[in-house]
Amino acid sequence: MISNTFGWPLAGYPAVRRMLKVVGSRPFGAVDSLANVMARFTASRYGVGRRMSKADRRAFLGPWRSRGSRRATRQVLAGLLRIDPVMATVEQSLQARLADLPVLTLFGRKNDPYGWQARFGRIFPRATAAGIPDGHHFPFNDDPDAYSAAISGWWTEKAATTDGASSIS
Amino acid sequence: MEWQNPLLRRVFEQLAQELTLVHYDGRGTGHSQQDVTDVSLEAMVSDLEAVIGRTELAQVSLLGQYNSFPFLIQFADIEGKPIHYVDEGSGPALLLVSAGQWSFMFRDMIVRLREQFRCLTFDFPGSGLSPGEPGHDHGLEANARILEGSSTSSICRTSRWWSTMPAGRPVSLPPPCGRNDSGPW
Repeated sequence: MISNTFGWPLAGYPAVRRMLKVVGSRPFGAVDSLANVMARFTASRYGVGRRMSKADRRAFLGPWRSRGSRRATRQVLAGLLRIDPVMATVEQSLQARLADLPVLTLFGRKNDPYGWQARFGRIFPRATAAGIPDGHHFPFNDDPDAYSAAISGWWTEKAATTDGASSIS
Repeated sequence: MEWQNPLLRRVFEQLAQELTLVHYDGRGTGHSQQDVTDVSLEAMVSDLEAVIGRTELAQVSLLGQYNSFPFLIQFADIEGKPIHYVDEGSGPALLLVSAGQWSFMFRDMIVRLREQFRCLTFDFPGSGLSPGEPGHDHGLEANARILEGSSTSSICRTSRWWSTMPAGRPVSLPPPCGRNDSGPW
């Protein structure tokens, strides 16, 4: 099951690379370290927070009280700039070894500007494509009922009769 | 469970000498109903009102804390690092992974799917409830090793599942294995 992610090099997506460079830059790091802006945005209605209460958002933000956690999150994202060689291998492996698997691609419709869901569809010919109409980058938080129902229905219909299951999220 | 905590038990016993003490497990925790999907603050306030109504007390004073993460908090040793993980429900395993975030983000999925799936998720070092490790490399390959480690550790001694991560290394991940029903699960 795949949601709002990628499985190939980012070399062909300069806008994404620019954003990651900003996240990994020293000025942004200084601001984020002081103001926790990235986690706060993630906790907003454009991230995971649309259905959360204020208390939930506070709980979600809890670990980012630590500046070390803020730094870890930035390093994870900035590190994506250096993984194109690995991602080229990943893409080859997906096509060569996993392409026959039944796959559910379940994307937030408002967060797929580069057509990554369709690209996964070309890698996995048996993929079932579904979407959360009002979903952004974290569609399981935007509409957990619809998201969970899509997984449950897909599993019941497609995957329960096959041997094994795959998860790429 | 809080009665088993010596500190809390002493507090409760001292309060009970002066007051009528009423204690209950919040929805999804302890001995209360586990298969709930609504763990919102509003639902928990509704539960509180129901409990107060049942006690028929004219006046109550509240002592409590909001629990927005209604899962057992567990840690496993992976690559020598303490890794927080969630293991809820039963059925085919559903491993939820998002590097850089933490397991809280999957809460609302898990409470809906744990009746059908065994929902597993964990926090990479320095994220969520997993403590940071000095000098830990937060890059893809280091996190892939944690994911591989989870497949062979006590977290995932299971199952009819296997997995890779976004940008993972699918060719090097362990093969599927059978669920060990006689194990600690």
